[in-house]
Amino acid sequence: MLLRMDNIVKKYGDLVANDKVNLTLNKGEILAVIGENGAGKTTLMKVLYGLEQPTSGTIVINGEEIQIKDANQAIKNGIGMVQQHFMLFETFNVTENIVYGKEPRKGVFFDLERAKRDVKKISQEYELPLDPERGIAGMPVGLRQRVEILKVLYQNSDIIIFDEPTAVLTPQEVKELLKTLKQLAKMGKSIIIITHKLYEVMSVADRAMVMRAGEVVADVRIEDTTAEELSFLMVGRHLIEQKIPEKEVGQVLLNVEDLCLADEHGSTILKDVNIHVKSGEIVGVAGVSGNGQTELVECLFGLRKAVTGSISLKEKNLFNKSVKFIRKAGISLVPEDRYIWGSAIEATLYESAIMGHYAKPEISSKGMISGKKAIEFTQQIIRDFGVKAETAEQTVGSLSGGNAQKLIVGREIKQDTPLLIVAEPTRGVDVGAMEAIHDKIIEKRMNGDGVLLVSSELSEIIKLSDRIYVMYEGEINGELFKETMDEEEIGVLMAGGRKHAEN
Amino acid sequence: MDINSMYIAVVLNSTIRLMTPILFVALGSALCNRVFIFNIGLEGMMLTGAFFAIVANHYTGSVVLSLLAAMISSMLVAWVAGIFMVKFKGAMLVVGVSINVLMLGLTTFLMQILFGVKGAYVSNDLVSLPKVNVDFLAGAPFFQTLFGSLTYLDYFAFVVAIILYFYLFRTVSGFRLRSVGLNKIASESLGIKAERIQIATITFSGLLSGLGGSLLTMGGVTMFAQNITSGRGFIALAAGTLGSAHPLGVVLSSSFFGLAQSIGNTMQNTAVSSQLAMATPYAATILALALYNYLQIKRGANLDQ
Amino acid sequence: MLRIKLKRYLSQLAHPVFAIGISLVLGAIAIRIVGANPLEIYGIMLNGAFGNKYYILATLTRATPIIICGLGAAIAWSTRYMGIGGEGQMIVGGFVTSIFALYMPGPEWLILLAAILGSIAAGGVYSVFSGWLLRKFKMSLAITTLMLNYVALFVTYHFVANRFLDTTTTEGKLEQTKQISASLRFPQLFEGYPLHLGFIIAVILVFLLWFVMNKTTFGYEAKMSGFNRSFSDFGGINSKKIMYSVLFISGAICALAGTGEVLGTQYRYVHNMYVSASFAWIGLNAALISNYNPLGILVSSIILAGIQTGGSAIARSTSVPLEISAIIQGCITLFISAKIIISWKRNKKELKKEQIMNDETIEQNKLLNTGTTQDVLKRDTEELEDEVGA
Repeated sequence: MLLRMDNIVKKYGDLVANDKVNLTLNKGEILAVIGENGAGKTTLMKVLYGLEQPTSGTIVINGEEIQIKDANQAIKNGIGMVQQHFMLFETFNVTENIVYGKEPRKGVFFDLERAKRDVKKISQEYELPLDPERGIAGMPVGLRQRVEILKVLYQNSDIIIFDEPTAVLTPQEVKELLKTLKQLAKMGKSIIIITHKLYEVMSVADRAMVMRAGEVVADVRIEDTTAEELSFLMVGRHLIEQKIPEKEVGQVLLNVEDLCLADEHGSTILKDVNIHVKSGEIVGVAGVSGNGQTELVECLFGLRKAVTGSISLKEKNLFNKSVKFIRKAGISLVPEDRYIWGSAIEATLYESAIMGHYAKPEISSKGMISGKKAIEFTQQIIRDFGVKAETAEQTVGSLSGGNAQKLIVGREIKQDTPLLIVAEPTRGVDVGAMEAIHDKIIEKRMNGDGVLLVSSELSEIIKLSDRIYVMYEGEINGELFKETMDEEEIGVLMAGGRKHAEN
Repeated sequence: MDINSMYIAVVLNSTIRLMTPILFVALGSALCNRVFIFNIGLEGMMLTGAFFAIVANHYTGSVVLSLLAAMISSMLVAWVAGIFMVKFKGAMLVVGVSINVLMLGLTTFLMQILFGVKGAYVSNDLVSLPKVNVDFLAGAPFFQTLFGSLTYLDYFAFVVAIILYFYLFRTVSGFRLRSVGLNKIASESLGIKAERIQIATITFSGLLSGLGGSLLTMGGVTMFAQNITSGRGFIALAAGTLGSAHPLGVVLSSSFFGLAQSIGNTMQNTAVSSQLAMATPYAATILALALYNYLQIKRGANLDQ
Repeated sequence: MLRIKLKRYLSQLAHPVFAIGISLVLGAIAIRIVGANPLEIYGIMLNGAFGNKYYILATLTRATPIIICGLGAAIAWSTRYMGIGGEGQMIVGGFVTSIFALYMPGPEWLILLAAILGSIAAGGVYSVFSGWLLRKFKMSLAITTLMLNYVALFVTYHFVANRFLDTTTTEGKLEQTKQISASLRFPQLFEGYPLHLGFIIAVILVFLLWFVMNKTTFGYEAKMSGFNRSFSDFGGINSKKIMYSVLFISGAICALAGTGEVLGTQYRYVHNMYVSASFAWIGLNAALISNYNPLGILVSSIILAGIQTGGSAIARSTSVPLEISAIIQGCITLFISAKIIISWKRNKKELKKEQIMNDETIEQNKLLNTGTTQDVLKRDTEELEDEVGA
């Protein structure tokens, strides 16, 4: 056995990110570590790579117990990591990126010629062709990842961790990568791959370790399991505790047709997205995050300019209009990141709470904000939405995440718009806050308004939605209705399943 | 040799003498840019060097010790600035502004204490930087004028630029320095001590500023006056940016400022007012930067970084 | 409720008090090196700044342009547009005022009005120009404002020296305009003492700016835009409009400081009159010390002005040079700068737990495939790098 992690516990205050986790890895083996967001996979890998220190537990490599204090020591112990967000220097070329930190020298000088030869050599050895002199800027993601892999190989790593390696790749690039992984394993490298995507797990891994809420819930050989079983283990058995009352749906509120979006380099982010939301329904948008949901929401809300298509609310054109215009037209948004988009941590609660309201007569008149009214308004949100806060004048940064989120949800629901978009409304919040937020979303629907719920939390989508769109790589990969909804089917669609089947 | 070419030689000679103090500091600014530090305190560091060169000069009468004092004093100031910027995460502008106010005050304060004068200190006992003898060019008056009355330190500025070029782009240490400014997180993920590199770079930029400052007080003239740098550190800051933080680019941008100033000075004898001439280098900086950024943006470069 | 409020105010005060304290200690060391007794010197300083009516009024006179410049800097810096152009704005304002006051025909009230409005407009437009350079060419506001300070200084110098030079007095060969007529000058508040109407204007501006920043929707928009640009975009705030308005107001206010000096103390435009006194820099320091709070700027400007007038007093009567005040001032802001970490770290700690839960997904969303980690770093720290330029 090459690597053993025994009884790893990692606590952040009273939050247990890893609870007595055991992991083993053999030479030439591919181990998939799977689990939902927050299940503790990334924390475990950070411990292994020396970026975090475990609260307790040991790491044994080649029968020898070792301490990994930082990335340097991890690298020295033959552990390499291909990070999800590539750690590359844009203006350096391939060679410079690969040899970084272990540069061949000639005295104090950087021996670039030898570096190029070395890079060429390993690139041939592992059959990962790459021009050593090519610049990183403008390089497609797949090639960037190849640079990262070569970097790890250059460091002579025996254990290579891949953190969500396929999250940002195109299907062709994924195929290439999976081939590479198998090749590396055959050449004696041991691989840990962290992923959501069960199809990939099934096609490449020898063994799968499933994590949930910081614990290992299963450690199985791939030939002894199925994708369905793994997805079940990952999510856990969720019974829908709460029966959501029936509600007659009304006319179409939001109508999006053939929406296309490209990033600044011109590559496609959204392709021909067609969705609609009627009044009195909650429409879920499911998908592994990073498949265009964030950008879809930003487009709908005017924070990003789309290329083509149409967006309308009650037949009013909202395509590429300003945020102000769209808010006025009747859309409010609970943004997916509460500290980047949703609030300002240095601002007081009332300053954050009146965003989007401050120009209304409830708060201000003739351009003057009434502090008293603003505070009353905030206190009302605090009461109605159960925000645990001492006063409306403390800073948002002093609230816990769940309470900050409740404040934001309260603020947006109080906009009383016909359509509410909620993006990842319960990410990182505790169960109590989650229930409260769900109740408010349901209440909104019962009032006859429409809700577009974007979440990478499948259980949340299934619990709340009347109808679900599944997004995969910037496209709608399927639409499902409550009556015929099937968790596994969604999982398959989220992983690009149907598309693969069709191919 | 006709009058016109001699005139050119005079202008170019004064360009060199005006640009070298800026060049030293601009090289420091370029290095700081490379590690993602905006060091507005260069003005104060330059002033520090300018002052302590004269202090050591006054007490020892030794050129070497004067230069040493200039380098060490401004390095110390730069180190403090670096600690505040990097370790204490003080806002770079605020730290820089404070350093400038502080050093302007401290140098004037000490001038009065040590020399007992206000405004300016001049003395016949002060030695100036030795000048390179160009008598052997007597046969070529153009070149004799062009290279006349330059100190060794003037030449050294160009040498430093070339050394830094090789350092940045040819050595491992320079390679890592550049990486810190490009992506601090990535460099740290591979175990590079990015903050240490940043502080060291700021400190070294102080050393260069000290040399630039001593050129001001021991080069063309040998004296110290209150606020003798009068914004040269700021110009150097702009020169660092305009030269793409590349040592050789900085030579070009610094010579541009030197030329602007030199032409400004010679314009004082013409129809153009001397006051407008004094504004030229600063206005030229803005224009040049705008043009440079415009071309960068057109090329699609991301200037947000 | 009240207790929390009080606690907050006290914690806000703690840092500047600490910074001032440690700076006074450093100043004392400098005094000690000179060979004087720090306590005695500080005593003379205090007396020279606030010891009697004349000293107090002299300090307030000196504080007047500092307060106004501090306010001008505060509105821009608190919205994270960190220019250092106060000096140039003062110059433009003061120069325009003096030209109107000297050469405009018409009734006095009209001249005065034109002199003030002209100054406001000129300072505002001048300041907006840097903003335009930032938006159009992504030029660092710090660099452009710095360079423009010198352009303003020398261009007005040109006009003063060549067009509007006062040729009646040749003594000292000062580059200055003629004196403006007595009827256009700001009245003194106390007969025979230097304090003038400008101080009242400064105090009014303090309350006006406090009101605008804290009570109006515009102030709210500017504040939120300064706290978190993404959040304000999300709320539908037009950040371009905010930037230009804020820079205009900032420039206009600083220009008024120049106007006040021309109409209130010098009665003419003198080349270098603002630069040598460092009004704008000290005003910026006052804004930094008080964390951009207008009432705090009023107080800290008076303290800083007191340090200066007190410095003059010790320079008059002892061997300790005047610049001891600049040393103390520089130290104060240097130690104030470290403040940013204290509040920043606290927030970071609270966010830590969150971040772990969200680690995987948040980052992914922030960067996707094209972003670099630099972007995250930038967003996370919300630091001044915005203004740094490439």
